[in-house]
Amino acid sequence: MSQTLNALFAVLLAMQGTAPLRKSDLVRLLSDAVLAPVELAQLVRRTCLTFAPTDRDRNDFRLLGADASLLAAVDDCGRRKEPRRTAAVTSVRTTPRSPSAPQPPPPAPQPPPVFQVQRVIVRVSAERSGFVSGGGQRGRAGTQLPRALVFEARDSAGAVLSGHAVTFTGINARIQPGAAPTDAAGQARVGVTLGERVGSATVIASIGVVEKQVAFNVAAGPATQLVVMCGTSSVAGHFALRPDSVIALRVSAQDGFANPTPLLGLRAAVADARIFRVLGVAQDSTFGTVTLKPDQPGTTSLAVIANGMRQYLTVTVPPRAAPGKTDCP
Amino acid sequence: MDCGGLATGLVSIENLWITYNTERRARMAAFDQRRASQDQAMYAAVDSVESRFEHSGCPRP
Repeated sequence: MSQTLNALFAVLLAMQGTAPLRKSDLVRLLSDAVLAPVELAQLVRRTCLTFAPTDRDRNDFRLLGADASLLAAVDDCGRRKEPRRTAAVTSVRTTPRSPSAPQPPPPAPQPPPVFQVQRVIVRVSAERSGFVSGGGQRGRAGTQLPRALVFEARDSAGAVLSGHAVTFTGINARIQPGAAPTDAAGQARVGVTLGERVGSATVIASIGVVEKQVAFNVAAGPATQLVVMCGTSSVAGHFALRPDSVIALRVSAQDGFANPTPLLGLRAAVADARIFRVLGVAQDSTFGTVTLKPDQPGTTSLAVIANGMRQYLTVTVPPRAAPGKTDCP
Repeated sequence: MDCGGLATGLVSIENLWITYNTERRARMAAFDQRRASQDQAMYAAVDSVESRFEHSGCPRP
């Protein structure tokens, strides 16, 4: 039974294909930079475009960062969309031959091939079809949303459409499965795992020529690391302070995907306070500042503590007379 | 409206969409639920403009 359903689903998928992209989709995908250029080119080759791109379109894509592979995919798609120059198309079988081989005699005219295609003409209604539940959920980056995303397909009369393939595309989200058939109630259900980037995630459902979108909110995960910066450079392990200055280290917390997370309970402690002192600690919800004052040459350790984590840094204060190269500031 | 008018409108909308998306990328981390909903509504509106232009049969500018 399940094998029959799978086979039916595969046929339906092949018949429906994936909805081609509009320019607005490509602009969004390029500016979001969620997909790698090669993935974007693959997507365009797979889905093609709803329009024949002009020089103006190509220039827009280029300004948005389209690389050569994507522009080639766009051009290939544009060539495929060019109107046919001949009224009738005949199928021609070609065989490989060397350039010097004599031209074969023209083939005898054959009757055009007859294809038996069973086509189910069903008009999916854009107005009556759409996501019925699971949209608008909020979750942490990289986690699966608790509720399934459900898309319902109906025709223009409002009747449910069962056994139709719906394909799902995620932007900053992974969809499992990527395509699903509608059940007896006309509904297709998929799971959504949010992407790694904080902000929004989008899922696009396509059935025939109908496309619908739904958005999700992606929050940062729990803090997994502290980042300590001196000016614009991050400091870790061992670094040298300039001896004759007051140093402000900037501290932030990040989740496992390097998204910023709230900084909680920032503290700092120095092992040997004769070498340098912690003058002050200040913080808001996002960043904290640890101010240090070098006093005498030497090396000691500094512990930066926040969000239940500790980051140990080895700090050297060089002699004032010959400080040499310092890392901070 | 003739094809010239439609083409001018399409170019204007597409240019605004590009500008908006470039700006959106810089501010996306600050998108709350209300902004995300507005963003989706705008996306759908631009998509509708493109769809209607494609159905007009006018040459693409």
